[in-house]
Amino acid sequence: LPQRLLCSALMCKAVDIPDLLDRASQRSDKLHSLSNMLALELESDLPAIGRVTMPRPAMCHTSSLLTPNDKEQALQVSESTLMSLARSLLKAWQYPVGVLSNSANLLPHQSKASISNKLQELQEHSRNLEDGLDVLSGKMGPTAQILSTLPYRGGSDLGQDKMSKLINFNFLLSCLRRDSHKIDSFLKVLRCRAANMQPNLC
Amino acid sequence: MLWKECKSCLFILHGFINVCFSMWKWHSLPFLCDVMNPFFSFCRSDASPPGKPALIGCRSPDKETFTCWWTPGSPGGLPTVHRLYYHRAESKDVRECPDYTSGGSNSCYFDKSQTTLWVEYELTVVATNALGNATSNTLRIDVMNVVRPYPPKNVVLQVKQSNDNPYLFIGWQSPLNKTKTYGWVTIKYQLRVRPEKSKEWKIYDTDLQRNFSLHTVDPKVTYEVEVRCALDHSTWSEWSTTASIKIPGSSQKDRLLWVLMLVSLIPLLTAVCALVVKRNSVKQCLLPPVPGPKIIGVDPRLLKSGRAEDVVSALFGNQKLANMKARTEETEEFISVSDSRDWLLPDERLSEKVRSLIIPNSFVFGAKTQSFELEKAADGKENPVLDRSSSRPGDGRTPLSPAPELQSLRASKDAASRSAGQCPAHSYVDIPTPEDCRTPEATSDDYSRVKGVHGEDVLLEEERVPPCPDAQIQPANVASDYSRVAEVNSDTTVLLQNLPVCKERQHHDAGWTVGKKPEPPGTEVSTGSSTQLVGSGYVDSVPNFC
Repeated sequence: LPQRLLCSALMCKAVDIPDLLDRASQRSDKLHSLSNMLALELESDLPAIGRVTMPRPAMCHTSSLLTPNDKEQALQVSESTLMSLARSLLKAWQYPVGVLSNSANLLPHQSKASISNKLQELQEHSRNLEDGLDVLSGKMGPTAQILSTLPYRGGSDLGQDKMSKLINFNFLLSCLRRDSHKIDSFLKVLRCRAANMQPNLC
Repeated sequence: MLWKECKSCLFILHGFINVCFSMWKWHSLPFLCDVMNPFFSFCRSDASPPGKPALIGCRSPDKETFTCWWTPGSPGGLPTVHRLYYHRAESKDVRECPDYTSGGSNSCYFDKSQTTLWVEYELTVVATNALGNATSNTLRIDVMNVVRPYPPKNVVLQVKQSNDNPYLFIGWQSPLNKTKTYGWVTIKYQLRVRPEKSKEWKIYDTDLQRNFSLHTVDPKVTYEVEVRCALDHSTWSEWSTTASIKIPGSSQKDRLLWVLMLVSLIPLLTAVCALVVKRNSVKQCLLPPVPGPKIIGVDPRLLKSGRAEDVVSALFGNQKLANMKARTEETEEFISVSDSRDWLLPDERLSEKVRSLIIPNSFVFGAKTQSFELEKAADGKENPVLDRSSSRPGDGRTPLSPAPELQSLRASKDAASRSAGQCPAHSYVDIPTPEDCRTPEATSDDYSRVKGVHGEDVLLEEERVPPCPDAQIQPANVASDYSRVAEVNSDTTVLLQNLPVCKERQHHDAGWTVGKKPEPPGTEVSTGSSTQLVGSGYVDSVPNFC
């Protein structure tokens, strides 16, 4: 991957792709950490009936996106593809995260304040990462620019009654957790591949 | 009843079949066993279909493989086979566990090719025995959620030194074989430390690092250390086996401190010893004794004793040769002028005391007897008094070079000795002498008799103004120059009387008052010291003996 000049408003500086990937990875790591915590926090309070009736992860709005599911695949797929996938997933969650953040206050949960804070933080990280990946992808070729649309059809509110709200919240968070893990894994693989002579050891 | 019979019957049959089996190969009589088998199982009391197994869970230690475990149900008494079936969420394709052994008993191991992340697996275990089967609960897992590494390996502890301070270096190895710290998997570590006897752990995050340096360690304490890890924000692994180490006791710093302390103590001790040894001189230095009043030449201690010798030595003693020259003038003062040669008396007449008293400057008691010898040599006259009076023999009597003052000294000595030897009336210094010498009638009109001495005061007898004798009778030796002592003020002051020596001469003496003499140093009039000295009431300066 050739080095490209990145010109911001007043000054131009050469920034390494590995360096950019490193920053992106750190951001995605934080994103995943937050989504993981949130998902676990809500899952513990979900009654058994909720778990049973909860939609399966296959119902996540991003499930249609085919992604590498193991290490070999992740190492085989091109870097641009990986970048594209990461960006697509991230973009797909822009709206739902907003929905989650807005609904947090109405959530029938004892620690909804902390949940709300985490969601806001998560939203912040998500936006930053998106911007960063936009820059990165600009350096990586046309394939990286492809964004798959993964529309969210959940609606702006998460349910009428208390249980529905909880269930939907849980479901969304579980989907988010999976996708944030994907994004994090892909970016870290990209980072490793960009920084190493022997990418197969990643 | 029936049962017992059946049992014994079966027993026989069983035995027969065994014999058959041993004689023939098993495979040749499969049908027989198959026929018999259910028969046997039926007859056993504890035979039942298997209990329902339970899937415990799964674990992926590396995000590439995973293993699932179950617990079998009640045994059922018969050989039971457990089978795990799974399918991925989206597909209907049910597969059986590929590996029942790698993960241990009652386990199913999925290798890399079988492991798919971010996909839900549905697992079930079926236990089957002769009498039936049992299906376990369905376990839905996403491998992502079951990621949990094993603890770190080979925890190593080392005590190292940094600027004479010990610190604990902790090192360990990743539980995974991969060498890269990040990539598909990002591992992070956490360790906990505690002193051996404490119950509270202190936790430290080390992120990607496989080592850690702990500086807050105390010497002589044993520390326990445990490490654990996590993959991609997964569940933490178990804590590793405890490693412990003891921090050594003495550090270089401690040793240096002790050495410095000892070194600094040595001069301190030396100083203390010196002080103790020389405490007297230190005392003198810090607290110098306040000098009491002292008359030079007079040792008050000797005067206190009251003995004649002591008094003499006090007043006249301790003469120093060094003062000889300085006292030339005083000596001259001392010299009495007289025309008469009658004063000259042989030395033999002198009483011991007189001689001893009148000895001039050069008279020194004790070791300082050089001057006597000198005079002796100069005179040519023997003065046995001198020899006797020298109470302490000197070490070495070196004759001094004759000095001009010796002549005067001698003269004064002679005069003094002569005058003393005479009967009091004519003596220059009245000394208590044998009574036959005492002739009050012959007392010169010029003299007043001392009644007694009170401390520093000399009490004189009532002045008798004797009638003027005939002018011719007047003793020749009475010098008209002398005046009577009126009063003694102090050690240095003698008030002389306006004493009419006789009626005729009254006018003459009017002017004769002597006030305080500016005494040269050393010259003292110590009247209060001894009554023996001042007999006639006339006081004159004691020669400078000091």
